[in-house]
Amino acid sequence: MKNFYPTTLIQYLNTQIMSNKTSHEDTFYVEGMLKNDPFIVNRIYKEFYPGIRRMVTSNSGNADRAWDVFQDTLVVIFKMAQSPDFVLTCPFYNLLYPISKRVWLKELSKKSRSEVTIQDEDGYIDETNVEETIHQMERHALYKEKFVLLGEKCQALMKLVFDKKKMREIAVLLNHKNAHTTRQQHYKCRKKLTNLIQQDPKYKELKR
Amino acid sequence: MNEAIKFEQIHSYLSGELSGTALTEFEAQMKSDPALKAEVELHRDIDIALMDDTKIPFIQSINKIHKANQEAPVVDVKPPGILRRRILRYAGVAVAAVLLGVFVLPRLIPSETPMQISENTIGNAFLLDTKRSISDGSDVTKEVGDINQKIIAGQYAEAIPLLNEFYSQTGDNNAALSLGYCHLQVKNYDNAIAVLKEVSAKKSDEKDTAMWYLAHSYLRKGEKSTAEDILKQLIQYPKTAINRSKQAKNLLNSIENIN
Repeated sequence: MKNFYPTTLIQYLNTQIMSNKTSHEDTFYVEGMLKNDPFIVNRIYKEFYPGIRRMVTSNSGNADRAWDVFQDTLVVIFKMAQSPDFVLTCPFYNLLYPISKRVWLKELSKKSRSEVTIQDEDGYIDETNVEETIHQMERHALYKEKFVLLGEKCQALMKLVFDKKKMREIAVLLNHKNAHTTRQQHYKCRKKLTNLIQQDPKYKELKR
Repeated sequence: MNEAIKFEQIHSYLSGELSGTALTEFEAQMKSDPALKAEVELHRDIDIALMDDTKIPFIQSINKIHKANQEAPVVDVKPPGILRRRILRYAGVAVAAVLLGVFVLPRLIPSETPMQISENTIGNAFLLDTKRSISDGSDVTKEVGDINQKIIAGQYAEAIPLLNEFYSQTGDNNAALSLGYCHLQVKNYDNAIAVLKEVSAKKSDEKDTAMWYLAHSYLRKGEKSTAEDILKQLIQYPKTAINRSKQAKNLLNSIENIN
């Protein structure tokens, strides 16, 4: 099976070895996510989903919303683990739970006119990993905001690139003259996107 | 170095296409040039942010597990001792919060119109797939490119006659889905329903997508109960993709509260 991100797991393992940070024993959960290990995936589901479901259903949510929150949080952690510098330094649940809480709180706040708080289990303090992950979430939200400002043609092209389509194929799908034209167009779209991001004052605050 | 060439190198590096000497040299360059390293990290971060979450293998796997467990109750793992005491202490508050959430919150949240719900949930336009296009000796790939370009640009009315011709020549289900989508966008709901019903009546890989668009067509037309019936069928259809099933359930929840 073709790897989704060919070097991601190798990068992650190298980071564990070379980093000054001490990785937590729960690192195997992150490794399992990266290589889609069925045993670990099943364990993540069985061990951690009930707690997240409890939190959401105890705070104006239902089982469907709880699943969405759990899934969205796992996506956030998966994306965090893509960074070559990421080292899990706390228990996996101590990262998963606060992020889930934040995801759910954000959703509730969108719908409520007044400030929302969440009743939850105590004992999970915000660890360094949590802070880093929240920064990443905010950066990614900024990139998505700027992506939408690109024209439809740029968005269509970049989506096909993210889908790992070859330039030749994209050229046909988008009726470009040839693959070289597509590459040039891709570069222009990327340049426009990075300029939009870097010109936003929020980016300077969120930059790693 | 020319900016465009530099970007090509960065893109090749992040895609895993660089290897051997080229890879070693590029990594050495990054170590000695902090500005290059920062640029690579930004592009990596953008790629990660904008990736299609539904295509992450781990997410697909955990979705399958969840679907398989839907019927069986999720066994609640015993929390650590200190948390159990605190949970018991706040049990009454949690029950009150659930009751509030179930009975009061839905009344406070302003409801969206069917059109708004449909627009927010239908997803991107369905594009024609060049690999599945049937060539009869004419320049099919160019024709497909033209059609896709119009759809991507939102020129649905212009795409419709091209799609009609393409579909009548090829009988391609993808073309029917694109045609249905375009009719839906220009509010030709009856035309959308007619073509989507054709695809959803067949046993094909596109049946679940056809049912999805069909439900949206009825929803926008104002036939809410028909839309609900189709969504229920879509959820029960054994070959519905996991994410499509999830979308259908969410949409059904959203429209059940509309008067």
